[in-house]
Amino acid sequence: MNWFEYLTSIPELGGRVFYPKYPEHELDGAFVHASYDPDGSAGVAAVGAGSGLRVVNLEFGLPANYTQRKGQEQADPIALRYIAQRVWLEAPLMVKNDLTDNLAVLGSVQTSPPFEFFDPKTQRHGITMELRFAVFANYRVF
Amino acid sequence: MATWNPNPAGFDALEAFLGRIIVHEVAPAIAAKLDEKISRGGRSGVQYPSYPQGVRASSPTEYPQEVTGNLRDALDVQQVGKTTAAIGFIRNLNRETIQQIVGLEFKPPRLGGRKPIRRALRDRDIHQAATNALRNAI
Repeated sequence: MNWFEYLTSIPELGGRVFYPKYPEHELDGAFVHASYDPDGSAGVAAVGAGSGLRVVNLEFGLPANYTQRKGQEQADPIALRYIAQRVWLEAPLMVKNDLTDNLAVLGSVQTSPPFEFFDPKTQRHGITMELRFAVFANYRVF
Repeated sequence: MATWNPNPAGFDALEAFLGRIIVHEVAPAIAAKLDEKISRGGRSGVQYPSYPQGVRASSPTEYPQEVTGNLRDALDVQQVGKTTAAIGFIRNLNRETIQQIVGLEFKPPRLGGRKPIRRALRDRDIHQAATNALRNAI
C-alpha cells in the first residue's frame, strides 16, 4: 500500500486526497490532505512525502507537528520542510475559509524560487520573488 | 470529487494580503540582510593602501567590500506584480554605479567579480531572514 492508498483509506478523510498545486511537488509524490474543525482553529493535515507519512496538527493555523513512520511517532518540528524546500521557504499552513463558498482550503504561503533579473535597458539587477498560496488540499465544510 | 464555487472577493483579498507581505515584510528582510552583507568590514582579501586601516578587500568567495557605498545606495525593494517584488540594485543608478555593479556581478573573480546577487540567491542567512519575516507576518 503506498501513501496515496493509505491516506485514501482513512475514513475521516473521506477518500479525498488532493495533489498540491505545483508540479514540482507531484514529481516526488508529495501530497497533503486535511480535515479540520469548520472554524479553522484545529485539525489534522497529513503530508506524504515519499519517505514517510507526516501528520500535522493544526492549531490556530500553525502546525504543531509529529511524524509517523511505520507506526512510530517521532517528534518533528519541521514536518513541512520537505515540501517547503521545493519552493525555497518554509511557511506555516493556513486554512482559508473564504476562497470558495463551500470548501475550506488548506495551503501554505510560499515564495516562488527567487529568480535573478538583469534589465539591459535600465541596468537594474536583482532578484524577483513571488509570494503565492499553494493549495494543498480542500475540505468540504457544508 | 468536491466541487469548487470560487469566491472572487476571497481571492482578491488573498492576493492583496500576499502583496502586502512580500512588499512590506519579506522583500525588505532580504534587502536588509543583503545590505548587511555588502556593508563594510569582515573580508579577507588584499589590504590596499587606499583602503582605511584594517579594511581589507573581498576575496573571490566573499561579498564585495564596501568602498564607495554606491552599491548599498542602489539597493532597494519594489513591487513588480500583484504578489511579486524585486530586490536588488535598482535605484540611484548613475553611470559609475552601473559600471561598478555590472563589473561585480559579471566579471570573473580574478578581475574583481564577486556576484553579489547570485551569491544572495543561495545565501542561507538571507534565506533564513526571508523565512523569519514570512513566519512573523502570517
